[in-house]
Amino acid sequence: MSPTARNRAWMGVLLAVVVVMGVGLARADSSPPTLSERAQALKETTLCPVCDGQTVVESNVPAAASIRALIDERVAAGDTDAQVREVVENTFPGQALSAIPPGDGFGGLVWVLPIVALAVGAAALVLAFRRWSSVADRRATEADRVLVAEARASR
Amino acid sequence: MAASLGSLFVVFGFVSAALAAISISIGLATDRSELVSMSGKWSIWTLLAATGATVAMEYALLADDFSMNYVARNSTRSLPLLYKIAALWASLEGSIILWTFVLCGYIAAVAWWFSKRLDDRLLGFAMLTLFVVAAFFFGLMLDVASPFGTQANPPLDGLGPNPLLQNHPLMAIHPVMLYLGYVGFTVPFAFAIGALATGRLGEGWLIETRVWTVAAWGFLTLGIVLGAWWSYEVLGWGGYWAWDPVENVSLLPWLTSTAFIHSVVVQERRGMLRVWNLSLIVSTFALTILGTFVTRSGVLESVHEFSESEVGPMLLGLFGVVVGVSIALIFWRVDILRSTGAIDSPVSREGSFLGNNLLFAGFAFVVMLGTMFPLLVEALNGDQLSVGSPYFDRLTAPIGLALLFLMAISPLLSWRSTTPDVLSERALMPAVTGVVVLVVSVAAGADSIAEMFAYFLAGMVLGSAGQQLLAAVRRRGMAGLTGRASGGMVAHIGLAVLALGFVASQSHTSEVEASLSPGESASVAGHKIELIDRIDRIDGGNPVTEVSLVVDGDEIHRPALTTYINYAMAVGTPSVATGWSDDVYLVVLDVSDSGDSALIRVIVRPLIGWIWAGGLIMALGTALALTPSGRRSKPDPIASSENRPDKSVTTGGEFTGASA
Repeated sequence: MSPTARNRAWMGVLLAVVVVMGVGLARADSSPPTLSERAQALKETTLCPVCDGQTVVESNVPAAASIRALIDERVAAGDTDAQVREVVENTFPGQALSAIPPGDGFGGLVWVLPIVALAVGAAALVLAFRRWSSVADRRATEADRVLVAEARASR
Repeated sequence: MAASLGSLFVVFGFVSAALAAISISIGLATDRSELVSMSGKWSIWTLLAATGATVAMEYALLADDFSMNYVARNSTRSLPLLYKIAALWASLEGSIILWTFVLCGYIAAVAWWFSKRLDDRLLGFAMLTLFVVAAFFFGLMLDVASPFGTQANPPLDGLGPNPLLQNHPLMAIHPVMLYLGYVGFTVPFAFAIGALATGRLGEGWLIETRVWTVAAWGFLTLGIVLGAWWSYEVLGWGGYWAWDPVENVSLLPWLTSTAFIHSVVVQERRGMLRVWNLSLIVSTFALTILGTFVTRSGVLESVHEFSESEVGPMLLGLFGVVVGVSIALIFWRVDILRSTGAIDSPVSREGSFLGNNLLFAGFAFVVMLGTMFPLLVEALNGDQLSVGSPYFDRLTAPIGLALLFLMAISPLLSWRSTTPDVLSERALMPAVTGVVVLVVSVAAGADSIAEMFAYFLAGMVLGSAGQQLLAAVRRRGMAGLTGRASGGMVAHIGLAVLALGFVASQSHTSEVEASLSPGESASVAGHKIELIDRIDRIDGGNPVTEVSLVVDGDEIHRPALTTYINYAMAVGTPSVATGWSDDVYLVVLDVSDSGDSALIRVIVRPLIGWIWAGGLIMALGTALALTPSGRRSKPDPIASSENRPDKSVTTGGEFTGASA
């Protein structure tokens, strides 16, 4: 394929990606979430107090079922998400029932540290590539040739 | 009888592993190669002991010998044969027997594989490491996790395994695969220690252990995917991955070993990344121990946790020793480990492998931090805090997308450097494949930006791997599918298929709960589910209610709800109508009505079956990667001078395809 034809093909690919993704996005449901969607989202992020790290959606024990019912009830009664969470937390005092760690305070570190670590890693990699690209003379030295000759001879 | 024999085998195993370690140490210290090369004979004794202990336990399980505590707790008379056999790994002590058995099997296999050169000091140190680990596990069975304890007045019947562990055949396979993977990493770890101890830190040990590392990786992959499949088929909530601590700790060694099997190629080619590779393999092994510690110690809350026991501190001790010794050895050898090589360009195969390693390390860091963070916070200021799936989903999704991007591009890059012109030529077909997958998925209903990117990139991965495989087949016929490069590409295809299933099933779920009587039906996402009848019966002493449901007018499914009397626990047995495009997942939630109605939950999720299919394709890729490709790669003269001249190094072939 000639370079011009290839560039045209890439333009086509790019255009297709943009158009198709646009179609997908335009079709996305932009209306505010319904009551049952909100309730489902809350259930998916609320842990069951007695079942070791499962959310109330995943567990069928009575405590999970009662929290599901409570969430449905409060959402139907017109509570905001934050209010529903508060009611649930108050029903089971002393337990961390939100599956989402807080974004602030000491607990916020759990969000920040991975980003910092990845950024530091990426920066280190960039620096390493810089350093490597500045290694000027990478031709074989006389010592290298001797080494290779010896290795060949000993085969 | 079985109990005393079993105990005897454990003692015998511990003594022979300990004696092996001592005699190899003396041999290494005093340069007596006849002592070092005796490791082959010792490996037969330890395997014999481990086999004896395993057979004794299986015999007791099959013979319903309830005088043995383990059997009384983990088996019952009415348990089907398969689950009696699988009861060996239903609980802590039995799992340690299995672990030890697998480990001794690996030790004997290593001794056999390298039988002509067991007097080599590097092999000696590796065997020493293996025997020390084996002695540790036999030692656990001597004391804190003794599986062969008996009671004077045996009960007439046992309790049986946890109900969740006795209603799906995958329970018989998933733990075994996981253990073959976990334990398999002991082998490359032992060779790494051998290389560090002898100072022969070139590429020799990497090449020697390549087969073992890749095999262990394949088993671990299969173990994790089968575990997800099991949880989907059994747990009744329609999902398969919940970022449960135990799932997370099984993923950690997978992440580090996946990074390792890519970055070793850079070391083989360029002699670089030596410390990094050593760190990765040490981390992988240490993480398998940490994973076992987490499962067995009760420090983290999880559905997998069997029991709190004294094994926890012992495993934590082993973890500490492994990490401490390895770090000390690496520091000691740091001068030899330093490499002078350079990577010419980030747009090269090795450059992309470095990117891959950064992302895998970042992924592992997220999973590790999220899993351990609640513990940390509680220890530091007493606060209760939970880190659940939303956290892992949000942070790993961008890393996953970046990894898919690298998977799509990396196989197209040449070693050293690739010009934009060449890359644009090679990437065109994969990009077109990506567009095709994107179009199909949007037509099927994809509507979020991250989801669509994932489909496009997964499509590109399929395209680039397929292009490489086609080129290999064109050059060498069907034999072109074997060897490391092509096997790797098949594994990439498997992962792309898995990713498509994962993203689609996570993004689109339709769920309905309905109370149905005979003749009534519910409709979910275009599927019609009709209740035919409900049957109540007694099975093995436990009341079972089975509900017959017809899906889309032809397929009959019978999900059930069993109440396990011994555990006072009602466990739903879901039934899944698996389809090419979606699954209809049926669970009985409640039958407390005295009538003939039942509360049913129906969950429809697209492409779930692709996840299992993808996992199996990855396993196939591993097998192909292990099949000698019939080509001999030319070992680097400097690296191979470290190998003994009497052993020619056969490799699985180089990464092929795009090399210019």
